[in-house]
Amino acid sequence: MSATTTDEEPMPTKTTPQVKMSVRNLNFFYGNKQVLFGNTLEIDEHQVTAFIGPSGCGKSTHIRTYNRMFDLYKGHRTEGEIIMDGRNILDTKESSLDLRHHVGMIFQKPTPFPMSIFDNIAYGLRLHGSLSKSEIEGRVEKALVDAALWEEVKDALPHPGTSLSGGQQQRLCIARALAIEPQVILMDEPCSALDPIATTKIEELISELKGRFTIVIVTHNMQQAARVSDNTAFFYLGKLVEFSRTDVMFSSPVKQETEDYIAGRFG
Amino acid sequence: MNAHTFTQFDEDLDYLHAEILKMLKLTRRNTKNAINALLNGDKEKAENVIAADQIVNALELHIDQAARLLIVHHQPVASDLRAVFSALKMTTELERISDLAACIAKVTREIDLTTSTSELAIMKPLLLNMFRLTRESIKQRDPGLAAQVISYDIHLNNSYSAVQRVMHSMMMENPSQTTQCIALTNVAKRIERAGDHLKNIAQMVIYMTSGQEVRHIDADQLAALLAEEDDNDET
Repeated sequence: MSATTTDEEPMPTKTTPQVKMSVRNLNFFYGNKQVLFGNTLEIDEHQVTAFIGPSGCGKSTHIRTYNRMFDLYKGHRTEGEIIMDGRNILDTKESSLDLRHHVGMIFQKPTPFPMSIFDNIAYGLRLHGSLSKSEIEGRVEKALVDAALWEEVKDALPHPGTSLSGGQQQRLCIARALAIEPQVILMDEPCSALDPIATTKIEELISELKGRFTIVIVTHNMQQAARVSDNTAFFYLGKLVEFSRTDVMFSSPVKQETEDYIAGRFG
Repeated sequence: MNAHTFTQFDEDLDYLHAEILKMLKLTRRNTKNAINALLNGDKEKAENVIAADQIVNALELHIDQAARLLIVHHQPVASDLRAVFSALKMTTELERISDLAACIAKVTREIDLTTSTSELAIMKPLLLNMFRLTRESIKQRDPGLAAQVISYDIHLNNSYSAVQRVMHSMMMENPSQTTQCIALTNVAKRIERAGDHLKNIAQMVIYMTSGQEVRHIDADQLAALLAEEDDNDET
């Protein structure tokens, strides 16, 4: 048997992320008022994408189109396309329930249901599938482990979810989202109501989860965007001003508006 | 560029900028005095240069501390981050130039020169011109002037080669002058190194002002990058 040997080290290969969601020319209207204008960008799979911008710039509105939260309100409508796995999720023929199965959402303030820690997670599982009791127990434990909460609550599963601290409640909500095994997790300012320690835990969790999920996060905290995200989008007045690799945006942004915002020169 | 919403941020950045210019001025003075002391055999002036190097060292620590505090207080990003990062790099380069000046002064302290220093004297205005261009590029935040510093360094390098050749000839003609010729060659090398440090500072000015990383690229690539930058400004 012969083998060729070489002294050369193999070159490390950098894999280019696949596109998970492709947003094309997205417009959004609250009744007659247009608040998003021709947003076009791509969300990379298994990467963290951060949305930044001043209050009222449309970043939360934009992220809420990814799981059609606007369907819940009358008079809200979109134009354009969001292609995920080859299908336009804005197409009204697509089921929003299915969509929310694949695209989970974490909100600004923790929103545990008024039920036990266990049931907070089991609730979604029961809603989305016909799992046996033991399967549900397994999935609840796995979700809590994935959300880095298991060690803290494993002896308190029957206790109310609302009895946990703010940071624990937010991780409970993340566990609830993870339990139904979504592909994309949307986070709308998930740390804005948390103290610095709880924030650090969530940020660490985001870094761990991106290996398995695609994460999109809205944040007002520039340092948080710089720390946790791979790509960053800057929105202003409903328009996508700049979208680039996070390290590039925070060291050498291209647009003056971006520079002024991230450097605190706005207003 | 717009002012920061938090005005103290602008004041701290302006202070850092002013302190860098102050350090450059002191370093230039030390270097000029060190060369003059050598050319004139002025040992008292050489001692003053050695003492003044301590002031530059202290200023380096002071600027580093100011930059650290600015990072802690304001978490700079984008051009602000580049300004602080560049300031830290510049202080290191300036401190080394001042060290080189002190080394030249120590040669003056230790050797009574009898060998001709005319070739060495040619290097002085070249280096001082690089100091002038560097100062203006920082003051005016002008990457074009910084590019001039980088391209000007070749004159100093050529001049150093000329000194080397002359010193080799002198050593062959008159071996008793070998010690002095080696000392003068070392001085020429330190002047040439000072030019390299100014070139490094100029590269940081380009990074600070344009975001372009121009270290480890050749002159043609640098010219192409700056032309691209000009095109972006016009569009």
